[in-house]
Amino acid sequence: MKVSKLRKRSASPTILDPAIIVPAIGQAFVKLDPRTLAKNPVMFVLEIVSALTTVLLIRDIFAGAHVLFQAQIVVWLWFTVLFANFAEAVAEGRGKAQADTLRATRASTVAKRLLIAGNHELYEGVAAEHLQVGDLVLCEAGDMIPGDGDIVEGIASVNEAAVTGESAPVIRESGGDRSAVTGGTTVISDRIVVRITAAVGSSFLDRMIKLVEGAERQKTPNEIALNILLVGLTIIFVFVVDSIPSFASYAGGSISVIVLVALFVTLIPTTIGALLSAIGIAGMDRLVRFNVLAMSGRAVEAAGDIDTLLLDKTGTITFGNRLAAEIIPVPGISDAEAAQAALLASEADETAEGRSIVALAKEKYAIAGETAPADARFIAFSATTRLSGIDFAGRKLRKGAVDSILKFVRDESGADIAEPAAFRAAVDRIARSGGTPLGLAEGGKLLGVIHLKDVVKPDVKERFAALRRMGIKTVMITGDNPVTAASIASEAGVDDFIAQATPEDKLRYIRGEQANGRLIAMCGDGTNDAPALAQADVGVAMQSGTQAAREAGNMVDLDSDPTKLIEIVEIGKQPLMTRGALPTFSIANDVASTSPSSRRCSWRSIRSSARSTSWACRRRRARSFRRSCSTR
Amino acid sequence: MGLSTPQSAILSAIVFNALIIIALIPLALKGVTYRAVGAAALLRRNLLIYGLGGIALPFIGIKVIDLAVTALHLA
Repeated sequence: MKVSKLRKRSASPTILDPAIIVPAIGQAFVKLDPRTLAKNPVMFVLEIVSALTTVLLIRDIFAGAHVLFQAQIVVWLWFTVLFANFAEAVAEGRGKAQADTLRATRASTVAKRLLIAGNHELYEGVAAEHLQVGDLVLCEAGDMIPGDGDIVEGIASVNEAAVTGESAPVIRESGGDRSAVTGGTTVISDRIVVRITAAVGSSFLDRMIKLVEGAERQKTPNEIALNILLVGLTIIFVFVVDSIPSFASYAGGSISVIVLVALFVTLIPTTIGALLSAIGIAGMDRLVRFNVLAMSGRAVEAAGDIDTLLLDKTGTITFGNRLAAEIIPVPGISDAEAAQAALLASEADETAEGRSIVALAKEKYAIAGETAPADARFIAFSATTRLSGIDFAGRKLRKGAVDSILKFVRDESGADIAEPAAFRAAVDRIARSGGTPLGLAEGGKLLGVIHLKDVVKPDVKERFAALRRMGIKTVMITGDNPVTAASIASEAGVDDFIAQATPEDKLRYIRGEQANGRLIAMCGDGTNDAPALAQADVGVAMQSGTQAAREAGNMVDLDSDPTKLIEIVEIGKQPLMTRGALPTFSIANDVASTSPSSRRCSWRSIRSSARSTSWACRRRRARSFRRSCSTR
Repeated sequence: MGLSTPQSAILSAIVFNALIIIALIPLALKGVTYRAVGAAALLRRNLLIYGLGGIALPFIGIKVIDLAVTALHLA
């Protein structure tokens, strides 16, 4: 897993960037179309009011009335609608600029479609947009990969800058968790055969363009709720303002339509109505800038409401690379024997741990690089067996989680071998020190323990404490045994941990938490993570992960950095908080800004009729009554 | 509030209502600064800033716009 430094896709453009402002001004007028505006009820009402007052204004102009005041009000009403549209257009504009760069990379390419599977020489040139799901395509050095797919053959270094913005090439190979390739990326070396898995128009790049453009934006549940509140307030104020003329006429005065309109517009929550969609768009945009793609606005919002974070220990809580520190043989086995076995069992293991075991065996134990014969069968690590190793010449060498190794030894020997006391002591000592013990065995014989050192990242403890203050529970997921897990969990300060976790355990834990009404976020990259990613409320898939994982999650991290899950929650909280702060401001604002105009118009009607109205007289009488009461 | 005329008061309120949208665009796009504090503390803080600010700002804003409107003889 590539752990890159947190990096922003591009510097945040300033609000005053003319490249965004100028088109946004044009968009503000385009968005006056009632069909577009109808999605925003408050602004739609405002547009209707503006249109009606415009009609009245035109009528009054022809009637030869003095209309300077009225005209100004009408102009400012239209400005209010335009400003709201402008806010939305500015928010969208920031995404549009990015979509254009993406679109430029999706230049139409000619794909080399294989005519016969397995024959690399026989292919035909096909335009990328005519490729179909299941087609096999040959990509050689310098070729652009024509569409999303899985590598079925070969290994290549691929430049994914078009999608991730990161120009350092990554290795993609058939099989395993790194087999997915994205259309629009370029093969730098070697050749691969790719099976196309996404139809034209639904590829990762296409979806990314639609997302950053905001074309697929749907209102989040929170936004819908807030909208209902705003509509409710607007309806109430329609009735309130409608009732004023009857009060006024009862008082013997009259209030002009334009004054009523002005009162109505200051009463309805225009500010938040205008900015609501801009806040939502900006939330998505902030994630994109952070190199995370949210597949829906709903996911962004869920991220802000997360109660529980499931964090993989490796790479998130501890540094990704655990390194072998020592090899401890069981009594009766020499250091050299154990080191030799460790070397062979790790030879095909390309992980940092595997390589560190090879290096340790070669350096500390001076084992010559004996290589396994060509007919050796490598056993890859899997989350279920939690073992890896090699089979050759009748020998079966394995390394892996201690209990899995013990099970392997018992299965191989067919006897219920007792665990040697020295072995258990070594395992416990390593576990207590926060390290990871790896069992080592050959066939039915236990050979020793490899000590992998695990280092907790320096700043995680403070971050988990901050998350706890926010009411978010952190859960560490690890394949380690419970003792090791507990030691690291306490060092890192997480609230809970799942030791010896299988993909099913994760899924079960997520379901359990959700049954208690909690929202869960997790990240993952492997196909075996896919069910849990799909079940979690926020599932962040790594761009470097498999196609299955990327399909299952509702967010994709283009940097493939699991640490970012914590930031995603923080970014998710921002639109929620802004959506809380702005209505507070807006409603307080409406209360305050209404008072000058409403006081003025009530004064007008009262003043014009003070001498004759019973309403004003009654108030005066009431006041004198109170005065007389207090003197009495 | 000592606004000059009823008409200028109404016009100022409408103008303020429109301009505040523009003024708040940066806040909407940038988002409220995130702080890792509890929900209650956050609510108190936001109510203080945005609630009181929301009440105080229109008085100042409308007064200023009213002065401008009067000076320009718009109402």
